[in-house]
Amino acid sequence: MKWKMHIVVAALFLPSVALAQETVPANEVFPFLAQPRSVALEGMAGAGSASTSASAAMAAFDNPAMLAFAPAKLDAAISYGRWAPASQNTLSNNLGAGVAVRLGRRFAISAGAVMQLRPQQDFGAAYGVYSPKDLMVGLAASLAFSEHVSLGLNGRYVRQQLMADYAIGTAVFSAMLQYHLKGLNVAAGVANFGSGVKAENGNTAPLPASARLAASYEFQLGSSSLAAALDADYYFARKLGVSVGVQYGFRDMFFARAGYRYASTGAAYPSHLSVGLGAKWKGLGLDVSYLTANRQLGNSLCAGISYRF
Amino acid sequence: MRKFFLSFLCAALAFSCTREIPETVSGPVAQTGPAAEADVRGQDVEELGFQPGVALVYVDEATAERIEKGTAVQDLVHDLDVTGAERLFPDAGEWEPRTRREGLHRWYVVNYDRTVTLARAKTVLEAVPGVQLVEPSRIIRRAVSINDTYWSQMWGMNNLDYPGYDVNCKPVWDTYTMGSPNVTVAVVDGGIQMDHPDLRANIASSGHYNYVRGNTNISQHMHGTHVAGTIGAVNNNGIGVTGIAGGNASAGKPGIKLLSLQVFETQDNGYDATASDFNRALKEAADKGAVISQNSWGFNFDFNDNGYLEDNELSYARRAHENPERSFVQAVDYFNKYAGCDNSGRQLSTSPMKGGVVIFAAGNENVPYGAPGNYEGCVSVGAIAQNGSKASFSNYGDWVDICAPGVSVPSTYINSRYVSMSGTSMACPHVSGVAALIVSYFGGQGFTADELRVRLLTGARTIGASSGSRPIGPLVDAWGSFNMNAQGGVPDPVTDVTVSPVGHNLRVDFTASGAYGYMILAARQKSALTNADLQNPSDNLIVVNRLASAAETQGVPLSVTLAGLTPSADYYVAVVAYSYDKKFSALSGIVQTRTAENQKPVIDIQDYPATGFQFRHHEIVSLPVVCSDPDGDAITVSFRTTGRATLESNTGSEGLFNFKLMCPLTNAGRYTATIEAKDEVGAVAIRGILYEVLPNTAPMVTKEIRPVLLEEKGQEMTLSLAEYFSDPDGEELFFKVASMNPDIVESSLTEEGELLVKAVSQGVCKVSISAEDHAGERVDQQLTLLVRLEGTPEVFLSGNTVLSDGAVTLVPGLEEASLEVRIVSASGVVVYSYTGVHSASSPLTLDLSALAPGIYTVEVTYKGETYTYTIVKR
Repeated sequence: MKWKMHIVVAALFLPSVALAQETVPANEVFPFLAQPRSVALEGMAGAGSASTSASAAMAAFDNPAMLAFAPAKLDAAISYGRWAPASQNTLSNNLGAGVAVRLGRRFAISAGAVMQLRPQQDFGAAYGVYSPKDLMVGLAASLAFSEHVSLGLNGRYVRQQLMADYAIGTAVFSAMLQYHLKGLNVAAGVANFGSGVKAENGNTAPLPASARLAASYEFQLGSSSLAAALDADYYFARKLGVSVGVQYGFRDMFFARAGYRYASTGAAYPSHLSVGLGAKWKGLGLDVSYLTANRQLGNSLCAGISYRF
Repeated sequence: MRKFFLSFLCAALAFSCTREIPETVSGPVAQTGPAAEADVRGQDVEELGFQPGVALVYVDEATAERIEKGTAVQDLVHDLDVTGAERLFPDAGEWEPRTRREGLHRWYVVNYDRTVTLARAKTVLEAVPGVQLVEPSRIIRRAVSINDTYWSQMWGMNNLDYPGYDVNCKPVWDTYTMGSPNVTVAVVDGGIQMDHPDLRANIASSGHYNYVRGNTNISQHMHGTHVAGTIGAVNNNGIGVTGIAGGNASAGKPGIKLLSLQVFETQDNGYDATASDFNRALKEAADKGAVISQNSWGFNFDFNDNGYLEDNELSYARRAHENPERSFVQAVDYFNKYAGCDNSGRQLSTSPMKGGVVIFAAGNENVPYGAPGNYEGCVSVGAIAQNGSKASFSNYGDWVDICAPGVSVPSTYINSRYVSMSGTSMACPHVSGVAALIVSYFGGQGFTADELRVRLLTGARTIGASSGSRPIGPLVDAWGSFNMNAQGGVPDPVTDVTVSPVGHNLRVDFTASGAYGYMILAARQKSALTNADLQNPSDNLIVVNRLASAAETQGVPLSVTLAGLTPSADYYVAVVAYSYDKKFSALSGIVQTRTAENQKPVIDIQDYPATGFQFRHHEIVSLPVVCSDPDGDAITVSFRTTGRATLESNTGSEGLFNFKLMCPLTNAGRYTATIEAKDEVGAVAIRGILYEVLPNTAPMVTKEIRPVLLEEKGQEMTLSLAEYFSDPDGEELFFKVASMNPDIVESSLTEEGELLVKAVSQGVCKVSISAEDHAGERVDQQLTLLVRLEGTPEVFLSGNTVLSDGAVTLVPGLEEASLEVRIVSASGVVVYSYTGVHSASSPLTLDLSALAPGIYTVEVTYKGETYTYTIVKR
C-alpha cells in the first residue's frame, strides 16, 4: 500500500480527548471560625459553650451570652494548640489569648486574639515559599436582662495571609441568647455571620455561619461534680454539626473531659473524638485537650492556662 | 496647373480592374505558368520604393495634342478609378518651346486607385493606344527632419558618437513609413501616462486595462510610460523624444497605437503592486486587437534584494529558465496564434497581421538565464551600450534572439517629463518599435507573424556583442528588416504544382524555386486567381503562406494542405513565390481539382472492454483515445460525463488523447462518459464509455494505539501508522495528525508515513490521527502521550498550583487504577473527596472555580501510594 501524509493544524480536528473533569463544590472560607477556642471546650469536642462554670476568657470567639453569668470578675487565659499535625500541609501552631471583665452584676465584656502560624509552604518556582499565618481579634459583650436571661454579641476581624502578596480578611459576628437556671444553661443564636470573602474570580465564598443551640447541665454529687453538654450547629451551607461532651470534676480542683463531634462531610469543624484534663487551684487553671479519630485532626493537642477571680 | 481628364485612360484602367484575364493570358490549367501573366510578373517592377497609385505615362504627339485640346475629356471620370492626370512638366512659359522640342510636354502623371498593383497598371496603360511608355513614380527619399527636443540624444535611433550601433530606423522613416495606426502594440507593463503630451496622440482609444486593480483605470507608471515612449512617442511634434513608430506629427501622420495593459502599479508607499496574473494580460492582448506584445519584465530571483544573484538564487533562476511555466507558455502561444485572428484562427479583415509576436526583455542580472522571456515562443532582447558592447547588466546566452540599445535611453516619463533609463527593459521596446514599423508597412491580408519574425531576426546585423562567451544576438536593424533579400531579385516561378484531394481538403505539392516564401492560392473561380492582387489578396481567395527555410532551396519538394474547403466543390489552385521584399514570381500553372466529401472524425478507444470498466473511488482509469479525421481536418475533442474525468491532449502525439476517469467525488453506480470529436465542417463522431464506480469501504483501525510515556524533554518517538490503519479496498490512505496541546507534545508526519512525536514539556497530551480514503471516509484514533520527567511522582499535578480560577489536572501513570482524591482545607476540613479509575489516557481534571480562597492540600492515592500537593486558591 502506498501512503501519503498530510500535516494539518489542530483546528481541523474536533477535540475528541475524553478528559474526566470533576467540579469541586463551593465551601466556606475561614472554616476555623467554627472551632472552639477554649481549651476546655476542645476537651469535650466543642460541647459546653453554654456552661457558665467554664472560663469566659475566650468568649469573644465562642458563646458571648455566657459572659453575663460567668461568676469571676476577671477571667484571663492564654493557650497553645498544635493543630492538625498529621501533615505539614495542615499543621498550624495556634496561639490564643483572651480576657473577660465583669462590669457590674449584669454586664461583662471580653476581648481576645488568636494567631495561627503555619509551616513554610512551597508554592512552586513562580511563587516561591511562604509561611502563611492567620490572625483573629475579637470583642464580646453580654448583658443579663434578668437573673436567667442574657444576650451576648461578639465581633471579630479575621485575616489570613496566604502568600506574601495575597491576604484575605473580613468581619465576623455572633449573637446568642442564653437562659441560665442554676446548673442548667441553654443558649441559642447565630454564629459566624458576615459578608464572606470575594475570590479573585469574582465568586463570593461564604463564612461558616450557623444557627447554634447549646445546652449544658451540671450538678454536684458530694465532692464530685458532673456536667453534660451539647452543642449543635446547623450551618447555612446545609451541613450539620453536633458535639456532645461530659466533664467530671473532683473537689472542683481536677477535671476530666470527653466528647464526640459528629459533622456532615465538609462541615467547617469536622467529626472527631476528644478528651481533656483540667486542674484549678486558687483561681489558676490549667487545661489540656487531645483530639483523635480524625485523619487530619488526629493528635491535635491544646493546652491553656487561665486565671480568674 | 491645368488638369486633363483622359477618358481613354480612365476606361482602360477601369477595365483592367474588373475584366477577366483572357484565357490566352492566364494560360490553361496546367503545370506551367501562363506566358502573359509571366510577362506581367516578369516586369522588373519593384513595388517597394514607388508611389502606389501613380504612374508616369509618355504619349505620342497626336495623343498629347488631343489631351491638350480637351477633345478626349469624357464624363466617365467619376465612374472610373482614374482620379486624374496632369502634365509632368507643366507649361514652362518662356521656356515652353524648348520643353516641347524635347518632348517633355508628352509626359503625364496619371493617378489611379492605390490598390491596383503597379505591375497591373503598367500593363494596362501600355496597352492603351497612343501610350508609348509607362514608368512608375519613385518615392523620392527625403530625409525626414526631426524636430523633437531630445532627438540628438536619441542614440538608440540615431547614434552620432558610434554610428551603426542604433536600430537604423531613420532610413526607414525617410523611405517607407514612420508607423501606422493600423498596428496596435500592447505594452504589458506599468500604466502608460495616457495624457502625456508626447504620447496621447498615439494612445489606443479603448481596450486599456489595469490588471492590478481589476478595472479600466490606468494609473501612470514610470516604467510603462518610458517603454511606451520608445515605441510610440509622437515624432516631429516639436517636443520631447522620438518614438520608433510614432508617426510624423508635422506631416499629419499618426503613429502606431499603444495599448496599456497595466500589470504594475506604484502604491502610496512607493512600492509597486503587481497583478496576480501577468499571463492573463499576455493572453488578452490578442483579444484586444494587439499584434505585438511588448514585455519589459521578468521573474525576480534576487530574493534578498542585494542587487545580484547568489548561488541559491541563481539555481532558482536556472530552474525557471529550463522549465517554463505552462500557463505562461500557453498564454504566449495563444497570443502568437490568435493575435489579429478570429476564433477560427483566420486573419481578421481589419488586422494587419495574422498571428502575433511576443517580445521580451532578457533581464538585467548578467546571468545566462532569463525566465520567462527565454521561452522560444518569445523574441528575447538583450541590451547594448552606446559603443555597441554588451551592456554590463544584460543577461546573455544563445537563447537571446536579438539585441538593442539599452543604456541611458531617453524617453517619456510620468508627470509629462522625460528621463534616461537603462536596462533590457529599454532595449526591448526598441525591438517592439521596429517590429511595429515592419507591420505598419508590410502588414495587410496574408502578412503573418512568421514573416515579421523572419524579417526582424534575419534583418538584424551581427555585431561584436552577438558572439563570444556572453552572446546577446544580432543588433536589430530596421532598414535591414525592410530590405533583406532585396538583392535577390524576382523569384523564379513554381512550375510543378500537383493537387491531391484529401477529403474536403487539398494537398498541394510543389518544388521550391528557392528559399523564398510561397503563397498557395485557391479559389472557386479561376478568375479570382488570374486577377489576384498578391499584395492585398481579396476575400474570395484562400491564401496559405509557406515560408521556406534556408535549407529549402531550389529543388526541395514542399507540401501544403489547404484545409477548411467546401466538400465536393471545384477549386483552382496556384502557387506564387515571393521574396521577403515582396517581389512576386509569376503565378504557377493553375490546377483545377475537386474536393471529396467530408468524412467525420474517427474515435478509436484502445483497450476498452465491451462491458465497460469497474473501479473504485481511489482508482484512476487511464484510457488512450485516438481521435483523427480522415480529411486531415483539425478536430475539436470534448467529453461529457456525470463523474469526474479529464481528457488530456498533451500526450506528445497529435490526435492521441488520454481520457482519465477519476471518481473520488462520484457516488457508486453506473455511468456513461461520452467523447465527441468534431471537425471543421461540423461533422461529429461520438463514442460512449461505460463505467461503474464500486461502493467504497471506509478505512478501519487494525490495531489500537497504546499510550506512551516520554520521560525527557526533546525525546522523540515514531510510530508506523500503517500498522494501525488499513483500507479494505486496498487504497492509499491520507493521514492527518494533530497534537491537542503542542506545548506538551509536537506531532508531525514523516515522509515514510510514520507519526513523529516530540516531548516539549511535562503533561499529558493526545495526538489525533485520522486516516482518510479518496472518498473522504475516515477513521480516527488517538495516541495518549504522557510526558513525565524523570524524578516526578507517578501522579503529578498539571496546572498552576496557585490559581484564581480554572482547574488543575491530576495525571496518573499509564496503568489504569483507582485514584482517590481529597482536598483538605488548612484547618483540616475535607472539602472534597473523589474516587475513580483513571490512567494517563483519562487524567482527572478538577475544576476549582467554586473553591473558597485559602490554602488546600490535595491528597492523591494511586496504586497504594499517596501523594500530596499544596494549592492556593485566590
